[in-house]
Amino acid sequence: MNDIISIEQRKLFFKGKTHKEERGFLYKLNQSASQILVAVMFVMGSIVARFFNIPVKSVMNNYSYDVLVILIVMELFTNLIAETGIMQLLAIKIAEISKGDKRLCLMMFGGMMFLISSCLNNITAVMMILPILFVLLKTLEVDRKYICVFFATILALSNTGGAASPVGDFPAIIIMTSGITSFLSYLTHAFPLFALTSVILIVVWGLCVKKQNDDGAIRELAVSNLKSQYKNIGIRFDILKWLAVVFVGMFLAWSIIPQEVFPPEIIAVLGYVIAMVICSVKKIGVGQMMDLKSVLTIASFLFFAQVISQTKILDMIATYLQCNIENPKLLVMAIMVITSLVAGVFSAGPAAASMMPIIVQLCNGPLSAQADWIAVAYAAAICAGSSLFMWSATAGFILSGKINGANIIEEEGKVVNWGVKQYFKYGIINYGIQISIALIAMAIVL
Amino acid sequence: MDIQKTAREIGLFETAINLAKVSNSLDVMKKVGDSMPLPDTDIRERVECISKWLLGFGKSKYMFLTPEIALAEEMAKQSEGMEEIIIAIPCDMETETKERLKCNLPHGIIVTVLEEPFFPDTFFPGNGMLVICGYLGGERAMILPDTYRMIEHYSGFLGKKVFVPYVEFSMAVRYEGWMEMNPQRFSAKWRGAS
Repeated sequence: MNDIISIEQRKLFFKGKTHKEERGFLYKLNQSASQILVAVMFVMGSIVARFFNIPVKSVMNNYSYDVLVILIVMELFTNLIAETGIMQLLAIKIAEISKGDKRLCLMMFGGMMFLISSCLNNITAVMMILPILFVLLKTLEVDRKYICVFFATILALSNTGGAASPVGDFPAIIIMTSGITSFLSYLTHAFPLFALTSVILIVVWGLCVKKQNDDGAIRELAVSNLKSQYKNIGIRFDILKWLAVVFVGMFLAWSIIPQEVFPPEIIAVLGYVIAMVICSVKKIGVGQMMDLKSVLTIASFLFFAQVISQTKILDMIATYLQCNIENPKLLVMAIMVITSLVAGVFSAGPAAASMMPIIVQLCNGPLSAQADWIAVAYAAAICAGSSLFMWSATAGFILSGKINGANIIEEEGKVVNWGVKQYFKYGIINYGIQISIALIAMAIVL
Repeated sequence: MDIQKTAREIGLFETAINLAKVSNSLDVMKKVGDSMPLPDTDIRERVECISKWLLGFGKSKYMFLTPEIALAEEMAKQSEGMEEIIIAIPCDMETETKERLKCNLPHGIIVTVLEEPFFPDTFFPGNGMLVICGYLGGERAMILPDTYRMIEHYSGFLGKKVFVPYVEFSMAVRYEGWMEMNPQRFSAKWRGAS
């Protein structure tokens, strides 16, 4: 018996040594993929800029620093909200209501994602919901396919939620500040369309989750264990209410104050500073930790997109379309498809910025009476494109980084990874559903 | 489902309470039954009795080598909250789990967390005792590997070391991932029948 113990102990002490040492070049390459991607994007962007004789300084003058600032600040703000313990409360409530049913979990979290994203910043919404999801998914027995379906739904719904209201996402803020539509008009036109799209997405992906053929005891045990893990954790409602006030103030400021007067990133910084002071006064830990790799990845894509935008290739395509498509309805639809693909390839923020002049031109021209719907069509196209690839959505890489860092282990004991490759086919379906609904809607209303 | 991992975070007794609600299920027997002995349905009464028994030693500090939140809560109910419970947590516990555990400590009694390999302050044979949890198979005291390691680490403590099983079997049964503890390592064990 003593021998057995000593062997097991030795195993225990040396379990820190993994098989990493035995893994070769491909493993190392895979581990460094995101760093390589960042480097490639910056190098490629610089080469393209030199090829088209675009000074890199002029690229950087128009660089979307604001997106990065908002990204960083919102992650820090989320940390403050997480400190209040509200995430755990929500996790337990959802786990209890869904009784650990995987399909119901997907649907409920999806619905919650849409609602949060429609009120809050897209990235913030994802960041807020992730701690809840990880705790729940780790206690349930999930497989690789479920993780892929689940997070593909979450990503798509964070996009539809972000597009559903004028303050939900960065492209929506750009549309709002362009003056082609008003706050209320956008909300009344966009919300029903994106709510319908979200319902369809939830149903489609919900049906992809197999019905569990068990007696429910394991799920009940998972929920009981989850409740035990949080049974003594208190929710700091005294701080939460103040943070909610700051949040509401930030979103009101984003929607009411013109960007020229108070840029959105400054509002974000101000909001965070106020929230930080509240937390310090109330003696709650102010977490300043964040994943800089995700920020760098987005920074590299913004740089590349800015270079492409300055090559005027997109402008040439838009002018060509306007000259060759006489039917305004078809023109809108064609621009929608192009915008969605641009958003897919270069991500939502740069696509929104680069295609905006064309939309403004269209709204001031033959379709001025339908300007509200064109704004929604544009948002829908960006939204669909944002769901196409992992890098398309601003929250994509952040989500991927967090999932991979969460160490979710499937039934067979393997750690689940979720990245560009895993999301690809789900992204195509998300894009297909969203763009189809948007095109059909525009064909009806225009 | 890695039930042992859950037990590492919430303790064997809390896990057993949760398990007792579903222990009749065939799925649970199949998926959990190999790695953790299923408890009896009277686990809550057992927790009450063990808490009473532990408090009966009259110590002011109880050091648990597993995070037994169920026992700590029950001790808080039964005592006047003057005792202190020290929960020793393994050095290889995930940071996230560790942080969650630190926030999930029972109220109504002083509970502190001690991270292995540190030693508690002012913890002497006169005022403190070590509480080791596991299950009893025949006369064999079975514990989790982390607990085994910590018993070795804190072996310098010369005061009382008691073993409290959450379930007892009349025959020696060994479950996957459990280790047998030398009976000389503890000074008393709780027996449900006695």
